[in-house]
Amino acid sequence: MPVPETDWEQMVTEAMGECVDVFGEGEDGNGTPRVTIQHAAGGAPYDVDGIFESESIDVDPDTGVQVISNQPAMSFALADLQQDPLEGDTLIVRGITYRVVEPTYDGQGTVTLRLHRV
Amino acid sequence: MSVHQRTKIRDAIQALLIDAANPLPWGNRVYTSRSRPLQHNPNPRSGGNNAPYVLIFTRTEASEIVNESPREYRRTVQVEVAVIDANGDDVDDRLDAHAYIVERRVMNADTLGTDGDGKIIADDVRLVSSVLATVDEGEENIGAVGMTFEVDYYEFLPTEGVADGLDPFNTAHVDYSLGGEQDPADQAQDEFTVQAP
Repeated sequence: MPVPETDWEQMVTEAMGECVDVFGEGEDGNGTPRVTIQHAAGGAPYDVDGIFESESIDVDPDTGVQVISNQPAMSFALADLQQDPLEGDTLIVRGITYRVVEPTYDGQGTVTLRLHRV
Repeated sequence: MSVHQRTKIRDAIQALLIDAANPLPWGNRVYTSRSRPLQHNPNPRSGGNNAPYVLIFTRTEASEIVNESPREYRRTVQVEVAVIDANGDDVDDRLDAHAYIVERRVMNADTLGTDGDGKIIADDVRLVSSVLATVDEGEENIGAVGMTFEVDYYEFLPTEGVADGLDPFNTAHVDYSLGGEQDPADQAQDEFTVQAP
């Protein structure tokens, strides 16, 4: 499990925890956590909370035509995860399954996972 | 209102790529305009996928005079048929499968049918090039295959009937001047009378 290695990382982790408490997915009306993650490297899936975004973006697959899609991403405090996330990990967010395409670390204790819908 | 031949060409290709009896992968999502953005996923909260879809648009056209009188042009318009799809890792295979369908449907109707007046819409259709591209931004891998066709058609400009208002060409008077230096009194002359057809 990733552990904060410096006092600063510990502070960032705590700050991220506050942000997740406010902006995170939390639980649905039945008390079921909305986010589950399973690491491709192994291990059972487990519940976790983070901040989910799915911003609309313009994509141009070299046609000159504007295609509007979304760019789903999920941010976590590393300390909330059992392993460092990697490409290929699977998340279920609000009942939709996503695959991790690109984990982006900030080097200070949080990670943002760019996702593709499966 | 008269319809430009390019509009007829785009509409004809659109009709070839919509098959109500045997629905193609894109169903009726075939558009002849690229002026509005296409929504890949209408609602990120509930999922859904509007892909694949097809765009048909014209880029450039070259014109060549093939007959001076009456003036007739051979016009060659470049029509691009782009299929956009979004899927997992096999988007390239899916694009190839879509291209297979488009190429055969368009090339098997190389005059693109006839218009409302019973005239063929195109004299010839040729596949010129294909471009494939994928991007991984977005909710899924999004790819596109753009096939460029050259479509030939002939057109009289001025349009037929405009010449009807001109005086008929019946006779011609010709004066010959060798080197432009002959005295008018010494110049040979000819009178031509045009035979009626």
